[in-house]
Amino acid sequence: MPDIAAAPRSDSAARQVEAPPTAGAYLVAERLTKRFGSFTALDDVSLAIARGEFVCFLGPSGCGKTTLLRAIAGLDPQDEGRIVQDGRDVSALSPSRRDFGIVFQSYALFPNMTVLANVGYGLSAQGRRRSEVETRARALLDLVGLADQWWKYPAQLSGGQQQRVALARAIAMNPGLLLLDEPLSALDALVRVHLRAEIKSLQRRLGITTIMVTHDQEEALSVADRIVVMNRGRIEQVGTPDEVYRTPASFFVAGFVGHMNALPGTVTDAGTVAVGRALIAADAARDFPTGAAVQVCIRPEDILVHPGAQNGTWLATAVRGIEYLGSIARVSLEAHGLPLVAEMSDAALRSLGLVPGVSITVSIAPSRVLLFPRADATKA
Amino acid sequence: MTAAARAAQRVRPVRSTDDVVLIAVVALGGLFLAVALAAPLGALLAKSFQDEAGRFVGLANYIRYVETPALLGSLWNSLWVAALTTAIVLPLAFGYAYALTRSAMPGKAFFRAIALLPILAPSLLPALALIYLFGNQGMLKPLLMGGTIYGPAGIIVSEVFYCFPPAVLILATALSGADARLYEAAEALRASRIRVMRTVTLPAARYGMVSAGFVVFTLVITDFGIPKVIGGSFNVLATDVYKQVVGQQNFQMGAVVGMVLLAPAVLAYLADGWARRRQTSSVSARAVPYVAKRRPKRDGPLLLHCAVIAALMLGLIGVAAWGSLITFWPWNLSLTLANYEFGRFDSAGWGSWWNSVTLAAWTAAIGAPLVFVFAYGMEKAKTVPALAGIVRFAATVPLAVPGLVLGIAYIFYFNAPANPAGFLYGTTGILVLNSIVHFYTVGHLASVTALKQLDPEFESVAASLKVPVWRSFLAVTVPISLPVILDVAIYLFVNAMTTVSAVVFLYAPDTKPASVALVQMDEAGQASAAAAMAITILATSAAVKALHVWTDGVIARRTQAWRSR
Repeated sequence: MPDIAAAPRSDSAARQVEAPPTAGAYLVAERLTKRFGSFTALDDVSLAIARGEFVCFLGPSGCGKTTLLRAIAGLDPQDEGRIVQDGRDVSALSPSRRDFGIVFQSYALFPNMTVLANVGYGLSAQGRRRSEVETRARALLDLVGLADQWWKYPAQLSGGQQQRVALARAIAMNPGLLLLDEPLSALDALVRVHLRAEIKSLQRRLGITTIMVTHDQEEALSVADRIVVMNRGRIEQVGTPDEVYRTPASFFVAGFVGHMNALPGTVTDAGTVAVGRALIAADAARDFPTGAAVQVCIRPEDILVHPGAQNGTWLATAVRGIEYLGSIARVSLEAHGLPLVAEMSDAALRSLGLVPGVSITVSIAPSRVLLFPRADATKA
Repeated sequence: MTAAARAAQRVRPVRSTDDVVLIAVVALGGLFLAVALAAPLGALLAKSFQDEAGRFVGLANYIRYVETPALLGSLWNSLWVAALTTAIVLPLAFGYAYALTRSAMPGKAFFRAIALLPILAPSLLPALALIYLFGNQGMLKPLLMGGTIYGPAGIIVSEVFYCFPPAVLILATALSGADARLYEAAEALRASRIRVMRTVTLPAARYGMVSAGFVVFTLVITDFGIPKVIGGSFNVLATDVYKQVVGQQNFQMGAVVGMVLLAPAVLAYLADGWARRRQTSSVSARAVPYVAKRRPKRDGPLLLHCAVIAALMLGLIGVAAWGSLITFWPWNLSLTLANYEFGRFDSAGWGSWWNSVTLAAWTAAIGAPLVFVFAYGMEKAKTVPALAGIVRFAATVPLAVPGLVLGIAYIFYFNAPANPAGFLYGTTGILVLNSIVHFYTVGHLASVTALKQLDPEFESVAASLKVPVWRSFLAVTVPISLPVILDVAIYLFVNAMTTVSAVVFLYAPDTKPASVALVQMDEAGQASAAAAMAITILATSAAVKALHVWTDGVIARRTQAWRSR
């Protein structure tokens, strides 16, 4: 068994989460727990979100990210714990007494109402004057670029357009909090990329605190100010996109966000790990006792194929296969019987003239080798 | 981990106005079913354990029942007649439904319409037609070679006609859920046609067969009109109840027979529920619909099968219609409208027809909105899952309660001196209430199915926009669900128009419905007038159904801009 105390990274993230910097936060969730029968969907989750922040809840399906969002909205209240929004304890309040706008994956547009009526639905229910509602709804449609489609019914719009209407409807009442539940998952890949940029720029302009649930890590990396990575009802890591990508707090985060070469290894001394017959220099090894069982994680882009780069581990490898993806390529390598994947630009692939069977020497910087305790890795 | 951390507080959600409104709707639905269904059935159960003075006598009535050979004989008669009818209906209906769903024969829409025609008529219409043909004065009586149509033969033939539509509907639904990919796979594997039938088609329709079988069995065992008209001296459970209660005023024995009648119906209901659960799990959502290609060797015989059945159906209705226009069967075959002057045969005259239309209209107008609102409450009241679950179960119980049983239960319940709702007794109100409860389940299930197809997040969005739930219900749910609400209304109308079994115990002289007048005219030997009344009822239902089809078309045109592309 590895010594848990010697694995500072995986545990520090959890501790950091338990004592959130609540001062000045717009939304604070404290020790939320939610069970569905014997299944624990949220397991003692705490979180703080600043005013105007764009936060993504990221994780595989069933990790609790949607449950957390629905608890914040009051749609499926948590069993235990507290939610404070803008200084007000909203834990026990029904959704209608809270202050949020929401967009669902299914759009949930009212099919029997025009686009304009959908956007103005909440306003007109408040008994505002018709002209006032219409002016406001038109302004909102203008904001999402659908000003000329106001007279159509949802069924006459494309998926992307429908989701824009849902977005306009969600911000119509000037909510303090915008909740997006997998808003892009039902859309085509291209529309998805386009719309996520628009959501981001709209959020910047309005300065509205926003939470988006997604299982798409690329989406989360591209739009979020901070990402909350969740797994099995718990928060694995909270951090900016580059923190989460470059310094994952746990083996789960390392594997879930981005691609990763993950190999079982053993710490041999303060600066080296052994993986199979290969020895790899790793700065992180100093945090582990000699002989500790570890997961050795290396990003594909950190396996450098250009010779003469820097000091580090040099490995002689043979090319086993090439997955060509256009601007980049993933090259499957074998080093001393170890499978490795390296990622390189198309230009590099061309200049090296790699084909299966060719031998090539790669280098790995000691600072780019991540280590996680092995048996503990999946246990949070 | 820091064990010192204080325990997280439990959350006690504060109920919003929306929650309270939804809980109130569910509670009202529960109250309605408790008062109009559970309490009367309780009264019936209690009555079966009492003597004439109302003292508790335990199982004495039941023991007397078992010791009376005539009564026990009826139970046996009911069972074997129902079983035989089921055995005849199922293959006929399967062939018909197979032709409608899996063949490329011409005239499918026509054959579908013909198969559903008997739904619009009172159940005893085929019995009247059979009497015209094979009765004591029947023109085809010699064909029976000394046999008689009065008795099991007449009952079974009439019941086959009466039970055919629901069997076809269920089997057509089961067969239409076919996955074309399975057939393509079977063909690619070079399976013979018989093998495909045995390994792909029949397994998929298996639970549909079970379901249809139980439905037919229950319908036959609980039907009252047909054995009353054509049963002669052949007694069954349903006629026993009527005789005990109306003929001999023996309410205790009536209650016992009612309980006996309830047993097979409840068993069939449970078995059917089991079969339906299996059925839904067998077809995946990604199935590709099966489209039949032309194949004369298959389509020809199927067309013949459908044509023969359709001809028999139209023939029976035609005979009844013709008989209603005959001056004096079979001696004077000149045509006349005199039989439609109901005043000559029954003091209520056309009044009973008007009573029926009023009853059916009220049942539809009150029942459909009520059923839909209650169904909405049960679907959306998330804060009281236990209560909603109980009410949801109660809403499916009427399907298992035969009309006769509900009818006598209403007598015991509303006739009790202590009942504050006793003023309803003898009014149209009790007939409407009884009809709504009697036909509650089908409307409820249709409403629930429609509601489940709506986006479950409509309410979430409305709550985030601070719109009260009743407003969204009226502005979104109702407009989208209008076709279903209309379906339920028409279903209630047609059934209230044609039903005999429950109302036969509950009418008063000035609220007598047409279907009861029809039974009485037949009892009095005025067969032509009875046929005329049956045809009048059929025509009324058909007219309302036609109006429905037209209204549906108008709604579809008006709303096609926003209904799916």
